[in-house]
Amino acid sequence: MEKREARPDVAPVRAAAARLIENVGRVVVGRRETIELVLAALLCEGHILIEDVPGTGKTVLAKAVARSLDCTFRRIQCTPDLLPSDVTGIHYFNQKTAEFEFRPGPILANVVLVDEINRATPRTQSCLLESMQEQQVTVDLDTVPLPRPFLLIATQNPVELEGTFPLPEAQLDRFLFRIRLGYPSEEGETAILERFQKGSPLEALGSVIAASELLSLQRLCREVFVSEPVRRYIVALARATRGYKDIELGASPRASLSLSLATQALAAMRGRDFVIPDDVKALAVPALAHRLVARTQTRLRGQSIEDIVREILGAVPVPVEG
Amino acid sequence: MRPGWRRSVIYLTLLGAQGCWLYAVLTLANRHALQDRVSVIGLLVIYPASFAFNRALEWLGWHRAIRVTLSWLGWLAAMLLMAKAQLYAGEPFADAAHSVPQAIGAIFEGFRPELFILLASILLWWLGWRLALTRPGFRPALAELQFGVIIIIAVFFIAAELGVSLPEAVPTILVFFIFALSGIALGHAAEGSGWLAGNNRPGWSLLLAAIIGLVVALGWLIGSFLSPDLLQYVLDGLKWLWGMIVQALTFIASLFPKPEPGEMPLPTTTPGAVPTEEPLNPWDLSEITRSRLQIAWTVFMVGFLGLALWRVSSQIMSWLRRRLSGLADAESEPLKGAFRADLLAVLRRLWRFLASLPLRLFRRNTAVPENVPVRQVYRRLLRWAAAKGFPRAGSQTPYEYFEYLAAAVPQARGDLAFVTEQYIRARYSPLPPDPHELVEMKQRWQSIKKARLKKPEPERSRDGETGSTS
Repeated sequence: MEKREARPDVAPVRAAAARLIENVGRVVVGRRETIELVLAALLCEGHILIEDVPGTGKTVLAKAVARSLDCTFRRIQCTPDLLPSDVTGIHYFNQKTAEFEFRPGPILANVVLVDEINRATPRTQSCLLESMQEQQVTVDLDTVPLPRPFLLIATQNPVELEGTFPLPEAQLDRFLFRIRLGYPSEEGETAILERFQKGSPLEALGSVIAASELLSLQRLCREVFVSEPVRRYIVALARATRGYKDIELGASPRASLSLSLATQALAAMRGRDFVIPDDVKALAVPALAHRLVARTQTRLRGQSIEDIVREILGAVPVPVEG
Repeated sequence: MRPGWRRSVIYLTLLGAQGCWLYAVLTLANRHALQDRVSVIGLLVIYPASFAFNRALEWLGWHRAIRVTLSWLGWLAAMLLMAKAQLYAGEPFADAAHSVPQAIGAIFEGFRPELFILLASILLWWLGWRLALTRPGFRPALAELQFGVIIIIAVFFIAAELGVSLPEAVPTILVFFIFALSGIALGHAAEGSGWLAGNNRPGWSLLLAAIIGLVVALGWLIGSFLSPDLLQYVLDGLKWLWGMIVQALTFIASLFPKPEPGEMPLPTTTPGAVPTEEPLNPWDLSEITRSRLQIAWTVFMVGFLGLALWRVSSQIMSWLRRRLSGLADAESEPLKGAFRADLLAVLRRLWRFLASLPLRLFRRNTAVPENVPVRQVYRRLLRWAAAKGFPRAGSQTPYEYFEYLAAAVPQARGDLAFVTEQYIRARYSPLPPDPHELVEMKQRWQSIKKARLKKPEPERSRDGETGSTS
């Protein structure tokens, strides 16, 4: 029997989510689900990989989220000549003080946008691994903790593959979600033209959630109840990806843990203090698809990994009576 | 053809196909054990009567306990009426009623007509009830063909073994195939795919009619050749083969030197008496052992042939289905060992189920006590909706299932939403349900039960997430 603890009040999470979605929605048109995913990642301290063609609003989305949070925002434009020290920072000798001082790199911000991450060399990509997983960076034997909250939004262009360094599975596994924005609808694109006609609405965007408030919301999300059947359902989904006929590399235990944490955040955003299977299904594709490696025959057949995850969702039974 | 008519016709084909092999089985038993004392055609009336009776009960939608009780009573009435009509036809009802205790006592005196009618009526009533609950379609029709073929072949073998003449077997088989093939074609069309739903329907219909005509003609030709004598010839051939195997084993055994007799006291015999006992031949089998081996051999052959037929028919049907669906050019990859793996998986599941039976009987209900009534109500809702033709897919969440079911019973949408919400809280939240809400949930469930659902459409995508079809 589950312990009957005092239940957390997730109303602040729901209210904060509504404010943030409404605020970001003034700039980013018609992307409510994407904004929800970004907020869910923020609430469970995850990171996001946005994969899409140029000009679909990736940078605008990241900037709008950063502005809405009253947090520091830094942008890293990845190029093949980007060094790890350009990301983490360096110790330099200050001739005036005759001491070595640490100049922090752009990674030391609350919201970091890493644009075109697949253009950076593997050496530079690997320096992001520690920051994403451990929330710290190591510079010349010194370990510098990253500020909290910390959200890393990476983008990559799936079209131009020349001169790029595809992210290894180990790094892909550290992203909580992979999101594809896609082109906006006709109405959405018309609204974009209307909104951006006289200037960028991003400049006028104010903050709606303070950093300290966000930290307390993150703690609240961790209190959301995940029942045994739902936990087993998440594990069943992850296990179903291992050994699936079309999948060569299935989801890791980190994937199932990430999915569980993300469902807590989503449940809180929807005003519930417990997770239901619908939350799991809503997040399964963005949370699992990028962690799986499809078989060559499957890729040649033109079947996407997202379709495979949906197939698995359709095959794994949900914990319901009967 | 309208969907309603099509369902009825598919039911008719299933009734006909099942009726054919039932007729073969009952005729064999009736002829061998009772010397045709019972009218099998009359007995078979129980089968469609059971189907119609149980369909009516399902349509009424009463509580399951009431339906089961009424079904049992219906069987009892049908069985008694059949016994009266077949065995006590000349007697008035009053006298026949006095004969009931006598008839019941007669059941235990050996295989008498009373026992035959009792057992046959149970089987026929149960099959009719089962068919009434089955949703007609491609799969039931295919399963009926496969099962029916095996039963009919088994009847053939057993009849030949027992020396029972079954001249009506061949026309029965032809009728069986007509019903089964028609049911398969219509079932396939009911799923929205296949030639009956396509544009070239007249062409395919003509082809089907030609195939049926060819089967009938071949059947008539085969029937004129196939006879119990021919089957006996085949069995004699198998016996000769077995005899050759035994002779070979005897020869091999004779190659080994016989053991030297040990020092043993000689038995005291009368001088001059000649021992009359023959030396013990290890290959001499007693009559009981011989008959048991014969039965085992027959069962093995029937089972082996049945499995082979099942495999062959499944492959033929899947090829036919692909062909009719226009996927003839699709590449298919034969999976080596797939049938064996599937069979082993089925046996393992059966073993696990049987092994878990004792545990299930004594398993403690681990559900939170306060949540059990809520989950019970939801379980009843699921069973009720499934019986109405709206079962929940395994991968549907309660909210997804609610949307699916609410579309079928829009007037009960509010009640369904309340029941679903209560269930979700009980199942996934740690808090116990509110007692007042539990009472309201039960009331809303009662009002949902009274609602009439729209008839289900042909099976398409029901899963809320994927586009998977059945």
